[in-house]
Parts: sequence; structure tokens; C-alpha cells
Amino acid sequence: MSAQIQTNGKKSLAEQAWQGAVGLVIGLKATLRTMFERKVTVSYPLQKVNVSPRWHGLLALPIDQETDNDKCIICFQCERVCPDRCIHIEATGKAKDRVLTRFDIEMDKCCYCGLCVEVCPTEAIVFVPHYEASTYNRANLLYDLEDLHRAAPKEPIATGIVKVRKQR
Amino acid sequence: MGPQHPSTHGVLRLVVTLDGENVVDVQPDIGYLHSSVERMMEYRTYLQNIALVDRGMDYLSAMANEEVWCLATERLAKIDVPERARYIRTIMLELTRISSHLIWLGTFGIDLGAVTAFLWAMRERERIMDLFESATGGRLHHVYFRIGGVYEDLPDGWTERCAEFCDYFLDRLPEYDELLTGNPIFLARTQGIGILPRDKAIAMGASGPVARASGIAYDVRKAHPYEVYDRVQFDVPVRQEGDCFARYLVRMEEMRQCVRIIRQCLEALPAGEIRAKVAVTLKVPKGEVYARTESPRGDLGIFLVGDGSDRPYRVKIRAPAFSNLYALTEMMRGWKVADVIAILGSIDIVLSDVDR
Repeated sequence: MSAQIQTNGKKSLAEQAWQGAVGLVIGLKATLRTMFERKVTVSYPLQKVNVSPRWHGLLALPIDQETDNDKCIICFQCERVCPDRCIHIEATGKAKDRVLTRFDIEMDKCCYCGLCVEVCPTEAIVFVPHYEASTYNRANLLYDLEDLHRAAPKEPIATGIVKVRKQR
Repeated sequence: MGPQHPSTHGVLRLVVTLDGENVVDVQPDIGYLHSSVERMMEYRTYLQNIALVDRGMDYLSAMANEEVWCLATERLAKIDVPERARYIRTIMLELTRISSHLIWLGTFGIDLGAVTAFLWAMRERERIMDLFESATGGRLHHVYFRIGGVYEDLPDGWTERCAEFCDYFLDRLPEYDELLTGNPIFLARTQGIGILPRDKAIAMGASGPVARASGIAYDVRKAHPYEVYDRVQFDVPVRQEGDCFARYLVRMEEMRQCVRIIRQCLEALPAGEIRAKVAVTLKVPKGEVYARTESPRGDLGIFLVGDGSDRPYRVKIRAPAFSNLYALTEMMRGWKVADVIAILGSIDIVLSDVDR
């Protein structure tokens, strides 16, 4: 069983060649036009693109200036809602004297879905616009309370001159 | 061929039986990306599953997966979605369709040796990703739809930027016509190649652009409207040829129709609530429901069984890419080895959707 190729079947060789040349010129015209247009690429990591305010970056527990502590009220809602179960919270004390003793986020498991940010009643856990969390050691991806307070990647690999492109 | 062939879009192995250069038979060997999403969904609450279907199924059109999951849950739990949320969802779904088709266009071009089209498609797609990022926070993995609405309202100036993108995109589309539609090499490699006849397409359960290129005028958005598709005007492009070029033309026309839908939605976007009041641990009543949507790849359906708890009892996903891949054997039989790549590229499969 062999199929028939119908394309250009009835056309002469000269016609095909002419068609090919026309198609080539049209294609090259478009390519040339783009060559002189403004470039849309940035040379990462020397240049970086701004991220939007809603960016799902790394998670953090920022320090509140008034109380000099994070806003976490230890309600365990984020731990429960997390689909990947990557948040681990432990606390000591009772009722109002409860103190956070452990707040670990396994950033390697995190799927950046943002459900923990959504359910948090006090906006204690938030997304920060950092996105270069790659490290050479997997253990660096376990973010403990101190890392989360600092709200920055532990050992960012990508460094360099940051020239930010205008947000479109 | 495969599972690591550069043109197989993921990990797919094709067992190709040859007679000289002619393809006698093709057996797709799937399962390399199987992640048992259906089973995992039984262990997660309805809210958590939104984050799962995003990446567990078709990762190039995440919103379409969120939509079908939310639709199934809302129908079973009888939750009404506010008007504004419906419009926002429709806009997002159509943007997803454009971005998914752009990826397909680029990779299809690369398969056939036209590398420029890929870079240009990525350039346009970047604008859509920026729109997604500013509205949802994620570029591929949004987790934006919620059961009973959407997570956040659109940010200030988003609708203007979206309208701007629509104009920009319609300006850019003719460039692809210049680059691909009139290109003799592209035509020679697609026109009349890999014909899927109408009756075979129906028998194989093909859907979406693959079926529409074979003369089946069927679109879930028209046949079983969801969200606001019954209120917007759009055409369903249908071609009779059933070859690779027809599938290309159908998708190109679909992108134009997407822009048309987005423009109408932006114009009619009402003010008001974006989310119905739904508990975090939503308990869905006992019962069964089947929801179907038109994802960029075709008829995407979810059969959901609820047992009264906060987790689904059973989920069955009807993946469009799986059925379209099934029709591959029919398309390839009798063609040359060189056409295998063109035909495989033209059905637009995402292996994550095939294997689930």
C-alpha cells in the first residue's frame, strides 16, 4: 500500500521552482524585517525581567515592624491545606502564650500553588518576588523559621548585574 | 522510534513497522509519563485537586484542566458561579487556547525544519504569559480558578493590556502565513499527508482540531455550552481534507476566533462578585457527574463520583490527546518514514495528557 503525494503533482518543474523562489523571498522578507525590529529577548542572568506583584515566588514569613515578630497565630491552616504537605509547624505553650518552635517549608516539594497564602487569616505567609532558589545542595531547600523571616533565597546561584526591563 | 526522539514532544515510543520506506503499521507505546493523577485525586480535597490537575494533566493548557475540574465539582455540589467570574474564566480559557496553539505551531514548524516560526511563536506566547503572570501569579501553573469562581479579581489595567494584546496578535498572525502557509517546503510536507477520513475520525474518537480538520463540525463549546460560550459569537472552523495542512489551517483559524471571543468578553465584562462562598473543605454530596469542555486539544471530560466527604470517591479523566493519539495509526499507515514526524506533529499531543 503506497499513498499518492498529490502536492504539486500537476505542476511543471519550472512552476515549482518559481513558487519556491517566491515563497523563499516572502519568508526572507519577514525575517529581515524582524532583524531590524526592537529585540524582545533579555540576556539573563545579566538582565532580569520584573515579576508581577502577584508572582508566585518563594514563600516567606515577613517580620512585622510593630511586634518585631511574624504574624503567625499558629492556626495550622496552611499546614492542612498544603496539597504536597510540605509545611511543618510545631509550637509550645497554650492559648495566647503559644510560641512557634518550628516552621519548616520544604521548598523542593512546594508546588507554588498559593493555597497557604490564600487560607492564612493574618497574611503571615506571603509570596516574595524571589525566584532563583537553585542551589547545589538539596538540604538548602529546607527553609526553617530563620530563612523564612529573612525572606530571601538561602544560597542563590544566579548573581550578576541586575538591569531590569520595563514591565509591559 | 523514541522514547527520546527529538521530535516526539515528550517521551513517546513509536513502534514503526516498515516495508522499505513505507510505514506498514505504527503502535504508540505510551506510559512513560504516567503519574496516576486519577488515583492521587482521590486522596486530596476538592480545593487541593486544582493544584494537581494543573500540572498532572495537560501542562500546556493548565487553565483548561482547572476549568473542567471546577465545572464537574460545581455541577455536583450545585454551586452557582458569579457572572464576572464566568467571563474572566472564558477570557482565560481562550488565552490558554492561543498559547497552547502557539506552542504547537512552533514545534510543528521545528519538526518540519522551520525554526523561525518557533521563536516567533514563543515571542507572542510570552505576552500571554505576562498577562497570566500579572493576573494569577503563575506562568504555566496558575491555580487561578476556584470552585465557585476565580481566586483574585483582574488587576488594574489588565483588560486594557489584554485588548492591546488582541490587536497585536492579529497583526502578527499574517506573518505566520507569510512564513508557513505560503512556504512550498511546508506545503509539500503537509498537504495531502496523513489523511484521516471522516468516518475513521469518528470511529477512533478523535476530537478537537483533529476531528474538525476531517470534516466533523463538532465543538463542545457549541454543542454543550459552558461558562459564557452560549453568549458570544464565534465560528467553528471546519476543513474537509483531513490532512496535516487542514489541521494546521483549523488551528490558525481557531486562534483568530479566540481573539474574537476575548474581545466580546472584554466588552461585556460585568462588575460584581468573582467568587461564590465556598468552604475550604468543601463537602460534595453523593452522586455522579460528567463535565466536558473543549480544551485546546479536544474534548476534555471528567467523570466525578462524590461520596459525601471532602475528597472525591473516583475521578476518570477523558483526555483528548489520548484519543487523538489512538487515531495516529490510521493516519500513518501507508505513508513514508519522513511523513511520520509531520503527522505526529500535526495531532498536537501532550504526553502528560496522554498518560496522566
